[in-house]
Amino acid sequence: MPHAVTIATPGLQALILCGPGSSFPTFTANPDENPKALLPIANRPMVWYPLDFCYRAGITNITLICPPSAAEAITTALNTNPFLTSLPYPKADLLSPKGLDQNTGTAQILRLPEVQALVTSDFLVLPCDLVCELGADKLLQAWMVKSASLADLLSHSESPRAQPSGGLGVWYQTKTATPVKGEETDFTAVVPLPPSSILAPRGSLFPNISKLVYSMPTDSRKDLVEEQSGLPTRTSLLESHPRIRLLTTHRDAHLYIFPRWVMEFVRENEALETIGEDVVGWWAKAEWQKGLTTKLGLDEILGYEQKDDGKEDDKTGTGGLPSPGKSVTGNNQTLSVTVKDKAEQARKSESTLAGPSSGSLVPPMLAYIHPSQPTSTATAPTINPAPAPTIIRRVDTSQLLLQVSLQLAKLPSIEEAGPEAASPFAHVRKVAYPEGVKPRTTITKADSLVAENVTVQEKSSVKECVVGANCQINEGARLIQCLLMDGVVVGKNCKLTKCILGKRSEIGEGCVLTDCEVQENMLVERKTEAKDEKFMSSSGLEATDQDLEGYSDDAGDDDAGLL
Amino acid sequence: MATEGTSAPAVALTAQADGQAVVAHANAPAPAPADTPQLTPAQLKAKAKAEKAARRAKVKEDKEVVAAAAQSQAADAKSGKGKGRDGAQTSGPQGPGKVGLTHRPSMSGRRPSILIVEKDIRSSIPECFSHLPMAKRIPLSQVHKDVHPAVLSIGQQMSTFAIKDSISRLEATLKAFRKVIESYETPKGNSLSRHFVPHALNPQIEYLTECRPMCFSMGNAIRLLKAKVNSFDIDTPEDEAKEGLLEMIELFINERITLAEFVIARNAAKQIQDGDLVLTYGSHRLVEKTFLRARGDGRSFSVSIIDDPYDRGGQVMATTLRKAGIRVFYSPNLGGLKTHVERATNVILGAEAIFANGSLHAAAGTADIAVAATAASKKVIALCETINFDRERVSVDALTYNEIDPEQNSAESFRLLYDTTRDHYITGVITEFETGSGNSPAQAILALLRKQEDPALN
Repeated sequence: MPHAVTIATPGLQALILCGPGSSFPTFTANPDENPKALLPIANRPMVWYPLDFCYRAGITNITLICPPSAAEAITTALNTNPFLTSLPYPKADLLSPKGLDQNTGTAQILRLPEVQALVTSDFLVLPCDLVCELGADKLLQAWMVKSASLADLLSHSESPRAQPSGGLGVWYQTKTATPVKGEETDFTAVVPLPPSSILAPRGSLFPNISKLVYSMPTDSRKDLVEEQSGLPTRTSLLESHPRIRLLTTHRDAHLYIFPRWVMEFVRENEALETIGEDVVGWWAKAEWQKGLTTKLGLDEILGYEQKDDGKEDDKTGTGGLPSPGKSVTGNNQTLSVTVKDKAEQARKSESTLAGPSSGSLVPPMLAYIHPSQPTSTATAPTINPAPAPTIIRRVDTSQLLLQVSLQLAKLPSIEEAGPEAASPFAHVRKVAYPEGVKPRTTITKADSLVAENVTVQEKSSVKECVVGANCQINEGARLIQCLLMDGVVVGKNCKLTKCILGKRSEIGEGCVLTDCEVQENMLVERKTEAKDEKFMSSSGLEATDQDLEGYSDDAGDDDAGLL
Repeated sequence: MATEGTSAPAVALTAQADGQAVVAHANAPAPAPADTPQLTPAQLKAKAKAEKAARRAKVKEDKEVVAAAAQSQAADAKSGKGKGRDGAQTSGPQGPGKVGLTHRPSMSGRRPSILIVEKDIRSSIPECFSHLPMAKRIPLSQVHKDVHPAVLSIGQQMSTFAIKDSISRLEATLKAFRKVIESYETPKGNSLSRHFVPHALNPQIEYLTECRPMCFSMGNAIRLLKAKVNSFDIDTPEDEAKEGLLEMIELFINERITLAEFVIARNAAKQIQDGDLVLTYGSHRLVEKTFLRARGDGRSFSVSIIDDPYDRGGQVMATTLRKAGIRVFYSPNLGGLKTHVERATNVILGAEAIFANGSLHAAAGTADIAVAATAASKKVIALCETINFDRERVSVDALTYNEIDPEQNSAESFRLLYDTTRDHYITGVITEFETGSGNSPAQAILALLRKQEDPALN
């Protein structure tokens, strides 16, 4: 039975952006019927992972944002998929803004009026393809303590505008033990936070939090370097931060905790197209680049007055005195107003005494750099040591899909590890339907995952695979490191290595496929031998009349004829 | 005999002499009738109890058998590869929970929040120090769902020691409670004065206490708040009650925190003369404000900061003072204290609280400074707001009321966060009321506070 979330809500809301899978050509050729958000990772639809992440943090106000064309498929899945329906209450909402299509940039999504109206508090932005095993509560704690400004969180409607909160982003290392070729990375520069005299509590993320000063996807950086034959660096960056740490193999997990004013920031600046590159990049730069705050309109958004020399006394201070029109009961009225006045005077005189405030007015964008090796928690022996590093990956290519699914398949199931020690991504059992597995078959349980209703015939072997629900694996088939989605039929005596088979595809008898991808509903002929091929249907790729005309024109007088 | 409560009124009407036997018969049908006349009511009661216990034990045994069988089924499911099994058939008669699980797909990874055993982090601390609290720092995933988001944030800040001193914590707590009151809605049929404290306020207080043990001023403020809530009539309209509470909090913050700080800084700044070398320990809000105020008044003096080696807060204060143009001497620990004290002209210390006997409760290390200063005949001035005066507790040593550092504790040693300075080492206490100096300065102020809160007392 789905249950309600029983931990405290942190007062943030979450937006999960379900975009088209432009890097998944095989499987999202039809993004409206098979949106990327529903592709299975370790037998759970992809969008389950960010949803689960939010629920584990106690966030209950979750909205999925998808283009209207894909809304139907996602709604159906939310209502019928067994994993999605077993998520706790309250259920996530689905928003399909009118202006959103498959090519809208992520920052443009935040600019849409429906989304602007939706966001009323500090918020999280998640991509639908994020697999994050790290506890969201730790990230939230890090944001609450390091980034969020207490004065802002506790601000009263009448009190002056307080120091605004900052943001937090997550970066992870892509160069792990098993790197995936062609994975996107980001070029990031961070500086450490000002040293604090207080020891960070054990198990918190504070030692890995730094301040972001520069962020750019590696592709953009390569273009820039090519254009300018070198990486142009501003001197103001080096002046403000003489010691910078440059990261080239990390990747932005696109998991951001943003304060509310970012919505206004995005709305005011039409030039921002994507969150990862533009919003975060420009925000990081605004901290050290002089004049950028005015150009981006941050001064008004953050409520800072212009600091003119010698005019401080004339200013009434941020916010001024609270309006005396508040109806106060009893005879404390005069007393409270007097005390209030005096307190205001006290605050003002203190601010002049303290001298000019520090230079950087922009609240920092912090970066949590996820370590690829587990940090030694060599303290209390009562706490279970975490042997494997926690997984944070974005799954946006098919190779990553395969690798992450296989990685998750290696997690011990709840049954084996016990409910407390099991990872939040563990399944109840490795082989969900053991009766379907006939004798004399080999399934390596330690690193495979077999879903419901799968029949595995005799003499077949399934090693290190993830098999989706309702599949049929016939006699003699050998599967090594494969990913099978729902309803796949694998013919007799096939040999498949490192393949990804889409929904309801069928592999004929005797095929030998290595490194192949098969689109959904495809039939692979018997006895096909292929390596590194993508079996896609040619529907949708037929030449339109316009293309044909263009072709015959180009051909000139040649009697090319119609194909 | 009707105490057994089983029989119909007919039994009660029977003659007293027979009563025993009849009731006994009704109660114990199983044993042979020959036994029954001998048993007294007390014995009967004991017998019924024993039977009940036996029944309970049996039920428990059955449950264990079921659990064991389920375990063995799970073990079966683990072992064996791909062998067709009649696991499905055996799962039928056994525990219903298991049956439900086999047919449902993998659970979404949510399991009931596990309460980590409370004394886990304290397991290494010897029993004799069990009265000293330590910050438990529960993670966000184990917080009760009634906790308000604002309180959640400040709890996290407190547990990670981002806000440490009592006044900052008090201010944050009050502002967070302001948000709780604003967002509170009395459910239908209840009144705020009866419903608010147990259902809205207490979960927040419990959570804050679990993040870090409460300081005295927080306890005082909460007591005042609860008293105010109770003072409302049961049929006071909600808006009126809420406004009253908000107003009280507003007044409290303005009067006893903001204004108090301002007045204390002004009064203490008068004690600093030109050319002074003022010694202080660690970093304290009031002390910093005093120095800045004195600087603003145009005095030229220098400051010598002795820092706590485990918590280098003095460095931040040193930077601030330097920016304001004050000359700062910094010492990273208590080494060479005698020399530093002899060079200084007076000593200003910040306090966390003042007990009823005038002792100062301050950051660990303050007592050393005070003792050394008194030995060198220097004036020792303590700065403390009246909200931090605790009129109920008395302390003569540092082990009665203290807190253990959650980062530095083990079976061999632990670090305490505070210590106690006896009142004869303090020359004067500056609060927002007036400067108490002379003998037992704190006592004078305590008397004043007593008079303030109980005007009838004279």
